[in-house]
Amino acid sequence: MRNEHGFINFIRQIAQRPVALVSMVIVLIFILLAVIGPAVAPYEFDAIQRGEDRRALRNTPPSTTYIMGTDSRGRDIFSRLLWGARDTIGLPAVASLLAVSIGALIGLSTGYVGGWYDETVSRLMDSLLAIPALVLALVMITTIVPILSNTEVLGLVQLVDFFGANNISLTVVIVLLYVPIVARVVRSATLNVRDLGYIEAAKLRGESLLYILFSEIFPSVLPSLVVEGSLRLSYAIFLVASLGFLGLGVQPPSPEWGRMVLDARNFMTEAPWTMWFPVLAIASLIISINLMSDGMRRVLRNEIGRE
Amino acid sequence: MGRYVIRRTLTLLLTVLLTSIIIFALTQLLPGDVAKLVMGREASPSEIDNFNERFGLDKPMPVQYVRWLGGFLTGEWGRSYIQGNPPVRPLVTERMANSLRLAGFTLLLAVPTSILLGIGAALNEDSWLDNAISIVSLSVVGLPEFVTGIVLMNIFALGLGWFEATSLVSDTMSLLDWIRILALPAITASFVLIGYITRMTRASMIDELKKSYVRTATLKGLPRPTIILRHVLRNALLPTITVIAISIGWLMGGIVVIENVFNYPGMGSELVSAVEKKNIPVLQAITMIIVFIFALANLLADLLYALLNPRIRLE
Amino acid sequence: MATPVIEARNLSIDYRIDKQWLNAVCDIDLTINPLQIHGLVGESGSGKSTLGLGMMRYLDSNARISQGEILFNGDDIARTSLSQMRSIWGKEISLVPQNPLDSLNPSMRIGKQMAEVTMLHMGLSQKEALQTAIQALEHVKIADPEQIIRHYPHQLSGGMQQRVMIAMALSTRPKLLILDEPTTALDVTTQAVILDLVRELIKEEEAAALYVSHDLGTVAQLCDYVTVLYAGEVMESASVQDLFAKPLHPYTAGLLSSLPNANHGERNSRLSTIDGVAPSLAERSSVCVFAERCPVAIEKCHNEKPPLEQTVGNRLGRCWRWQEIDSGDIIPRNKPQGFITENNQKEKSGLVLAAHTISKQFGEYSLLDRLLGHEKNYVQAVQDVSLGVGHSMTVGIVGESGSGKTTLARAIVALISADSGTMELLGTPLPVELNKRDKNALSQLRMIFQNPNDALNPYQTVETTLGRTFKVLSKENPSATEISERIEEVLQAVGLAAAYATRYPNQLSGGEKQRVALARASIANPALIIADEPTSSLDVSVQATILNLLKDLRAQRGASYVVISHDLDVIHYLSDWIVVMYLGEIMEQGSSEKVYELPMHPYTEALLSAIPVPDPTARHGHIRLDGDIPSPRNKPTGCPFHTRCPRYIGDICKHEAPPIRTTDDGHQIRCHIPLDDLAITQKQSTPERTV
Repeated sequence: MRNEHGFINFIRQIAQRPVALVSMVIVLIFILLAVIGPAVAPYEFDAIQRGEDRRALRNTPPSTTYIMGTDSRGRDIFSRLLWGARDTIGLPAVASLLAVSIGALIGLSTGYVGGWYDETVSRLMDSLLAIPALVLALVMITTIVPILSNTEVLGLVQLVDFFGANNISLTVVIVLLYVPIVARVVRSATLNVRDLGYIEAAKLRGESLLYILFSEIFPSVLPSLVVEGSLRLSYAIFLVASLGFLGLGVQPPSPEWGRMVLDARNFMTEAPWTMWFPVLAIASLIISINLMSDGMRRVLRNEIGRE
Repeated sequence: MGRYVIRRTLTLLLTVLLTSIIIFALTQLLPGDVAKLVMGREASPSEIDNFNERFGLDKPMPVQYVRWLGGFLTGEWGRSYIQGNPPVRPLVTERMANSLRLAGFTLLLAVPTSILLGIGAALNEDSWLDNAISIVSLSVVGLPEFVTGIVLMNIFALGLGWFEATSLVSDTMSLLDWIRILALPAITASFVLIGYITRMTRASMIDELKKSYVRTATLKGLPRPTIILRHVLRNALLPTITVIAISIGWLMGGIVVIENVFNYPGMGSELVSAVEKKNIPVLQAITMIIVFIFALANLLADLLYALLNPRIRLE
Repeated sequence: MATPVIEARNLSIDYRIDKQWLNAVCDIDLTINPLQIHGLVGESGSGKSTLGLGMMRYLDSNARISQGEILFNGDDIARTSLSQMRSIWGKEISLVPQNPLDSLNPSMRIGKQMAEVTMLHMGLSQKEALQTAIQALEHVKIADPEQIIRHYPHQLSGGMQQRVMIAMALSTRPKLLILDEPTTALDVTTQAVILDLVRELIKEEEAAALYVSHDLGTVAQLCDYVTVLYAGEVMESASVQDLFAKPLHPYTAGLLSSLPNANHGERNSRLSTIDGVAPSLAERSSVCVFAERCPVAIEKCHNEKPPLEQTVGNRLGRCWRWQEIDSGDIIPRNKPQGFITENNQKEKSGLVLAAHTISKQFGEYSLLDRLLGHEKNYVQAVQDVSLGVGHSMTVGIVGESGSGKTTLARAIVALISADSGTMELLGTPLPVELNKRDKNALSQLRMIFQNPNDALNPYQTVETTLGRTFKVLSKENPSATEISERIEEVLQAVGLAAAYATRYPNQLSGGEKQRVALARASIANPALIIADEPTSSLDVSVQATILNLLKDLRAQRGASYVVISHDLDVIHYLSDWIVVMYLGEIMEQGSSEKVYELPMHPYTEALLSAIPVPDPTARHGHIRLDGDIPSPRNKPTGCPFHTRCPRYIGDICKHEAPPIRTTDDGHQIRCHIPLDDLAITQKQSTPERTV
């Protein structure tokens, strides 16, 4: 029955796992916040809150007005978290989606076609994977940001003006980092089905390469792709936040959460809340995504085991 | 075995070579003049020519690459772009030694702990213990190092005062001093590693326990502990060797952030400042070292795996 | 009467699946007497392995004994503690498992694994234990055991691995041996040797054994007593002679008559079948479990579960109608539905497929090999094979592992490209590469795959699969109604209701999947269908329906078939012409009757001799081959069969490729021995085989 109501059945099985269900709900809430955050935030992210004496309310502890307190420049932390959700979650989400699409394409084709094409592409991917992700990210950011900032290519200039050189660089970096990983996962899933009878049957009726890749192989690769995609999202958030913390990620004035932690670092002893809230937000988001994708993986594994 | 070793070594060399090209290419893609970026827009044309000539930047790209790689392999790592142009090698090797101390200490903490946790979880599959270990390891595996680092620092250094919050390193320190300094950064780095290695060990142990030879051993009448120790463990830990090698890649990345959190004078913090200052020679040297360490770890893992696995050893 | 070695009374074993306890085997009474080899036979899902291992109190982690007792040495081992079982396991009851490679620890030397048992149970020192291991290996006729104990499992062939398992199981002189499908993973010529050895050793050691198998042939040859299991219950148990001579249960009768050689050479008649499929654990009924599929079920069978009772003599049976069956008042099986009338186009001249000197090598010669100066390490999978397929004709290709039969099939349909050789389809040249074949060639030449479980895309309905195939292969663009009409038509031809069109593969049984695969192969009216082991993953009763269907389809549509199988009985039943392959070369080919009934080539003769006949009164063939099949990687020179040939005549076999000798009727034999000599030795050695 799996095929007729696959999705509903999948959700039902997730729902039977309390840990996976709770984490999925939390992830959905975070995603919702990334979309509507600015609309529900009580203040602007860069509005400096002032007391009655018109002086900025620097590092005020949580209160009913400012439920998470204010930061060293007197900005409301709760509002900043809501505004910052877009860069913290949205940018990694877009980047992971790109990485998953390109990686899937490469994985499907290398896995199915094999031979020299596979050999060459896989070797190149391995080389990218031989550099630790964060290190490669640092090296790439060093060059991509100045390239984009100084570009004169028509169209790209407007793109850079609109999104910012840093954001585009981060997206490119995440795509380059995760395409090899996704490709590897999809490639091995493709290898699992490549020699099965139904693929050979399609070959023997003269189907085209694209038909075989997308109509015959892709559906069976999809489950592992979904799980890998959610993991990639989690690592992308991890990476963007880490770069933000190093001061090399999304640049101010954007209230990206990793950057918020960096800014709060100097006031760790006098105003610990300025640091705790973004830290908690990042931790709960990433843990939820990981627990959710683990739940999905287990459900899918059971499904396969039962066939 | 010989064939396997040669194949793995050659593959690895090829990978490192390709990687070096990627690193070099990336660092050469900088638009305009590096010189301008480094020396500022006000630099006069003759100053810039001087700079380019001194660093060999006026030669064609392939020539620069070969010179760079040759230099790297022979220990001539060039001079830093920053003031006074100090040679890169002494600086980087000193930093590397510090980073390797941190990495070594981390592995010492993380590997035994996670193997024990993984085995414990697998032997009690689906029990509360297993579930607890799974949830905790899944949680810590995703936590960015700066998050765990800051939390630990707040609790154990700033709060309880057990350890130092920043790392002042000197040549005359005793082992105990080192441990006091390394403890928090190493524990921070261990988190991700423990999460990852535990999960992989658990999975391979569970796989192994389901295999038919375990049934054979049981039906020989052997007691359970003997079966685990004599039969299962060796086969189950074989994949863990590879997992540890992979996690060294993680560790090298994590160290960059952790050294920053704790102001630890290692390669990682130097790398970040090289990025900020566009100090290309330092950036290249550190990146290449990290790639080499990672590749070496992988090669060692492959060799160890082959040595312990009769199927490959007797090929 | 002697006290039984082991006795199960009323035994039930449950599995926990989806938070529910489901009965896997139920109310089992099973007694094994001293010196007895007791066969436990059943199809997949019957619970035979669960019961076999359950008899030694070995249960999966999600299983439990829910009722009954197992008496061994006077104790009820169903209730004893696991620590007590440890002193019985390996010492008094040993297991010979199905897959020897998986059952040996891959990273421990053979000697150490064997020594473990005797050190534990007999208190031997390591040195003594290794000495014992060497003796035990000698006992199972392993040459050079001192060397073998230093090997790791993967260095041994499958047959050797199984000998090691047998030696290990016997090394403590156990009272009872459990043999769980011990030869299923082996080739038929190796199986024959191993089964002989098992029987000889068990008798020599004065042990008893429980032999678990799906294969009625090996049971008939090996066992003294048989218990037939269906859906977790004992249907019948009797001495092997009684059971095969006169089954008293409709299930046993159905099983025996659905074997491909049940018609004794009447190749034009259908096999009798057992309709329907065995119930899953959750679907088992509280009445007679076989009633749904029983051809002689009466109302009572659907209302009340029959008890397991004593029938004739010592026999046990679980059927309400055994008296009527015994007296001959009813015939407890489906009558084969008459003869198959051929739509005979055999007179049509010319060949559907002609293949000339097809060769295929595998193996890569990588850059690294070249750098290191290694020699090319090719495997010659198929060498210079020529064959022709006439109109409305079925050619059967038979061979063991490494024979190249599957490679040949895949080269014909161009899933792999032959290295050399030419092919013609219906008189026009057929390119060796798939992408050079035109639509006409693709639609005329279709294939059925070995494993029905992966032959159909799990994400596509039957309709989608069939429709797409028809649309892509049709000459004109068929309309939607034409497509659905055609789907209905072809489903009907393979005996499936039109409602099956909307089903997904996971809603079909194995046999149904294979029917759909057949429908897909024939939907565009091909001239030739290549079937690679079409029934090897199916149970006997399902196999019969597919074999009948293949015959019917050929009769109705006149397509030709090439059928590939390791099972000579299946090949004989289906084919007009038989091709025997060994290590990539054709050893013999000729008409079905000739090859099967009077094999000329020493290999064919040995192959036939190795087939276990499901008739305990027929003497097991007497020719046994030494050693295992050589790896195609190290293919012997000269005649590839010379290393094992019982009629080896000297150096000529070793050095020279044998000539092809052809008789008047096209029968070809590749052997250095002249035809007349072969024929003479034949006549001397075949009389005991009853066909």
